[in-house]
Amino acid sequence: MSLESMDAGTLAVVLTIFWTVVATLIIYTVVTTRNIKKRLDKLESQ
Amino acid sequence: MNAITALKKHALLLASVAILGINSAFIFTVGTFARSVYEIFYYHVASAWLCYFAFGMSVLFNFILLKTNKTEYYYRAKNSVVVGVIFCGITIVAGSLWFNATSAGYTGVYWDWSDPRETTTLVLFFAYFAYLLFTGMFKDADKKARLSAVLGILLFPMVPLSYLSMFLFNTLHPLINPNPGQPGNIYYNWVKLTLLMINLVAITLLYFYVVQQLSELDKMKLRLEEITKNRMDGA
Repeated sequence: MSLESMDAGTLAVVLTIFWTVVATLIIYTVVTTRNIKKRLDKLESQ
Repeated sequence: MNAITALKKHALLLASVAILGINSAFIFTVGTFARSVYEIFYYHVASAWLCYFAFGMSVLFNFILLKTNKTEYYYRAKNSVVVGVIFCGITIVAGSLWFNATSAGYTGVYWDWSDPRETTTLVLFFAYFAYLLFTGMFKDADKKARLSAVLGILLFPMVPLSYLSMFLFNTLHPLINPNPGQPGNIYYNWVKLTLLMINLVAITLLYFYVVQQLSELDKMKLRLEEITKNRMDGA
């Protein structure tokens, strides 16, 4: 395997990890906040 | 909630992701290095910056908490540490892969325990991970907030130690030096530096958004617990 392809592979792994973690953090934050807010609003309105 | 309210609420997130995305396009066109693996630089340094910044903000919130006794600051400090630990993890993994590609020349060596930068950053990661475990040990909210603040402040010297380790000790970690030509340095020009700075700004905006949202989430969870407990007591 050439140095160029190993470099490209390593860069791709790092970018995948970076964007996956960032996306997971954002999705967790937005979705969980929305769900908990819905539950809270429902309970408080009862 | 209409679209404009939603846009305002998530403005920091949208700005951050848009800047990171657009900047990526420039990184892979005008910000390239002779070897593509060096483009890890933009993400490794951005993650390391956010890790140090988040731990720095947590210690600031801890001091404010001890002074004002407002639980609000406990949430901000704790969630800053959550973000810091996550990005410290990314920094370590990205650095380790970069190490294998460059210093180790793809020999399958990802770690060198004799390197102070790697070791102190790993200790930093575990120290703040332990802080997060520590915060889960108490039932009493006030005690938890105050003791966690003290621990957070005590752990903070690990941050400058990790950063300064490459200046204080012999290290494999390259120095970022604006004078190209010196061995061991990453050579960059103002274009690369600007692209890096844009990534740092974007990821810092993400920090403010996530910490604010996670702190709101913690408060809502607490309120939810109170309501559920009150209803169970009343039943």
